[in-house]
Amino acid sequence: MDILGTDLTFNLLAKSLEGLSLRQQAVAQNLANVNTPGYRRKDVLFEDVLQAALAGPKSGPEVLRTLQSARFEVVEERQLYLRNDLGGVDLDREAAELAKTTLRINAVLNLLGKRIALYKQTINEGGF
Amino acid sequence: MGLLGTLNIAASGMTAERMWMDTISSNIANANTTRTADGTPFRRQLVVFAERAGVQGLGGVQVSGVVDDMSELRLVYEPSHPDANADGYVAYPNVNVVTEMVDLIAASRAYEANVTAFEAAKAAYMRTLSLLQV
Repeated sequence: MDILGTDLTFNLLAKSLEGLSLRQQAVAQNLANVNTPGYRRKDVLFEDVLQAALAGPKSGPEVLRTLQSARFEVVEERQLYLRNDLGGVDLDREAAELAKTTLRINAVLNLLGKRIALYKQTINEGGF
Repeated sequence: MGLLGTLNIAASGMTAERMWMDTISSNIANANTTRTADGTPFRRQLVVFAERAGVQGLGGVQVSGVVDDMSELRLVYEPSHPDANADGYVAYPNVNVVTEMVDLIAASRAYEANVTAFEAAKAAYMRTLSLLQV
């Protein structure tokens, strides 16, 4: 049985990193299309997917299975941001989203690093 | 795709905005060109941006075409000009330098926005790589 595969925290962090990197892509897509007429902004609602995987009284392996099979979807905003060229991107909003996503990625990477350090310590201290 | 996908998307945006800036430069440079290769006065050129579909609709942006602005040419009375018509009017390009300058600012800001996304993705990727240094 591998240790990392059954570690819920580790898997949750890895999955949220997956979601965050997809959101970063969506923000980059919005920024790339800032001058595209009629473009609708894209987003990834990965928090909902993670929460749904964790919700309810489930056993550890069950949560892990739901987590691993969770897929993130890119959603398109229905409301067009009404600019006179019908572009759908608010540059300030995207800048804020990018900053938030970057901070979250850093937080998740820090936590992952700590987790890995913990395992490393266990491996080193356990033996000779 | 992952984090590298963001780099591709931001790069596509940078390419498209640079293309727009190139077109704006060409418009300004030809603001007084009355004779192009086919003998007609220069017409202002516009770039058309189109979303590029990729994995889950995240493929960045592309310039789907550069089209001529078909608005009225600027007529100036200059009878001695070699390109003057029978009434003595010369058709100058429909380029307004002020409009071009405003577009240039928009293009350069949009370029910067893409650079910011690029740098954010690069920093995240570098940090992820450093997790591997055990």
